[in-house]
Amino acid sequence: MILKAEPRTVMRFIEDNFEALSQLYRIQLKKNVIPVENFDQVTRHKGDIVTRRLSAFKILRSVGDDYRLAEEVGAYLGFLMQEFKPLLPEQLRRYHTSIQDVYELLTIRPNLDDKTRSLRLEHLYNEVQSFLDNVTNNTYTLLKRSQRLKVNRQQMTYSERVKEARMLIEQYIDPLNRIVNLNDANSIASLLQNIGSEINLDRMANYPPSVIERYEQLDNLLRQVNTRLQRESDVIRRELTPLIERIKRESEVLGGWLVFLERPLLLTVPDFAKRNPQNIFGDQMAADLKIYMEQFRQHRQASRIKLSEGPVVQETPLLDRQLYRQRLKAALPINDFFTWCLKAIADHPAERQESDLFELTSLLFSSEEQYELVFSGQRQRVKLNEQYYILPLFQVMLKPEEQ
Amino acid sequence: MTYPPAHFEIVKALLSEGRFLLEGEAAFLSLRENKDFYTKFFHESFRLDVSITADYALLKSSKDSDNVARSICVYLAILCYELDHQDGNLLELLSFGTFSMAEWEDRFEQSSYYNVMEATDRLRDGNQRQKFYQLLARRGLIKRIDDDLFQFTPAHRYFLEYARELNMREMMVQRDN
Repeated sequence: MILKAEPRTVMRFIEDNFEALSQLYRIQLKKNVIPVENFDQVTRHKGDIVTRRLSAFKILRSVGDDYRLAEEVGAYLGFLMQEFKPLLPEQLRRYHTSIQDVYELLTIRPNLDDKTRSLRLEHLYNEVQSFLDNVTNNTYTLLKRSQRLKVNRQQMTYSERVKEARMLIEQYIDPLNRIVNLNDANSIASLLQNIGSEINLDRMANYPPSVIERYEQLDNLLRQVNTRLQRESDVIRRELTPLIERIKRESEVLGGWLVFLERPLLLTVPDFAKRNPQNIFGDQMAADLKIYMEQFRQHRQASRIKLSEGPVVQETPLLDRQLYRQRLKAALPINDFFTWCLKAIADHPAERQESDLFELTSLLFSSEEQYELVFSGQRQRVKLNEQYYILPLFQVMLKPEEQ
Repeated sequence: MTYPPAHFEIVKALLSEGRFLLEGEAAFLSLRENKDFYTKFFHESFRLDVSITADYALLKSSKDSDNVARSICVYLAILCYELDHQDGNLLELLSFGTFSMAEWEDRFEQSSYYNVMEATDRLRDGNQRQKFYQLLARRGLIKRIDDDLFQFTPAHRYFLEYARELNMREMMVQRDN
């Protein structure tokens, strides 16, 4: 196959350029081919010799303008890096036909020569092994993809995530589950189980040791099938499906909230509980109170009290006590208090003279402690407004200040 | 006739206080065991429907434009939107995470949806939001651990279901167009 190099040299070349090759592999996983511009980018810092060797060693094949890794190299790189493109369930399902076909070749003619039988057993073995490897790879890849979807490093929008999650479930996970489901009569798992039990019987027949050996191998493998598929099925049931379901639910919730936030005030909201606090007042209380208050409001509008100009109120000016107290003090000592009073009110209007006289007299009592009164014991007759008053005669003087 | 156990507590929580009854409360247990009786009781007495799930129950008010409910939706929507920026599964964070009000004050204020909060009466500023947390606690939506920290009770899923339905409706609309 490779004319110019020893296998070891090729291995060493792959080892030396593993980084570049793994990048190329990832590009091919994503885009199916390696476009020439991506190829140039990856090999930018590599010498001419490396790019030339990639095709000389038949690691890389050109497809039109683009490139593709040789199938075997791709599979090997995938195995090393544990990164695969998940096979479509249809691709896995073809094992159903191929395994069945190879098995029928074994059984359809009972008198096969030993060499052919041995060869066909080997084919069957390879086919089953290849199926198991692919299922394992598929589960593993799907698990990784789901985890990546969960962490959402690529910052996908919610609808994209829902779409991706749904795609994973509908196109890969559910069908994969059907393929490995032992309870489904049409699943490959059931087919392998049937073949297993028949092979088990078959190998008891009288074959030469080389054929018996093949039978033993195949029997061993088929015995493992159950446990291995069961394990894959467990991973799917226990991790993959719930994980995807959670991602789907989470994205649905977020998607819903975003729809809500676009029109937060217009959309109807969930029917929520309402508080019904028990008041000591009934529900009717507020309405009753309103009606009750209303009548007063009405009443005020029809008020009977009219504000109009009534009779002019005669105001009687009071004696300016402040002023007369000063005058009194200025006139001290006074020999005859009432004569002084009559003199002070002589120019007052006649109708006020009487009350003013009493008011002046009260000045003496309001600040009793300041004055000293000396009564003579005599009385005098005084006429004021046609009235006669008999008034005592007394002296008023300031009390000497107390020490 | 005899009433089921914790009848007073059930009616008080659901009708007077309008709050969620939660798994773990004696009243919730009694309510779930006497589901048929209470469905009928609330319907015949008040024409209201009880909704009982595995871990919460509430009495619906048969109003779909309630202000409290709208505020809660706005709050949860923005919280979920912001929560999605950090690692981890949103639903698990809501179910098991502990939240700090002070930290979330900052996150809300930086949110691109802060204007929606400002337009919602009960959420428009820090003071209102403090009162809002009291309301959430009263209605059984959150459990306060101390003055700052709180956790959501299972009742928050009632609102998440609403969001899922909304999303579903929106997808149907898009499919029809």
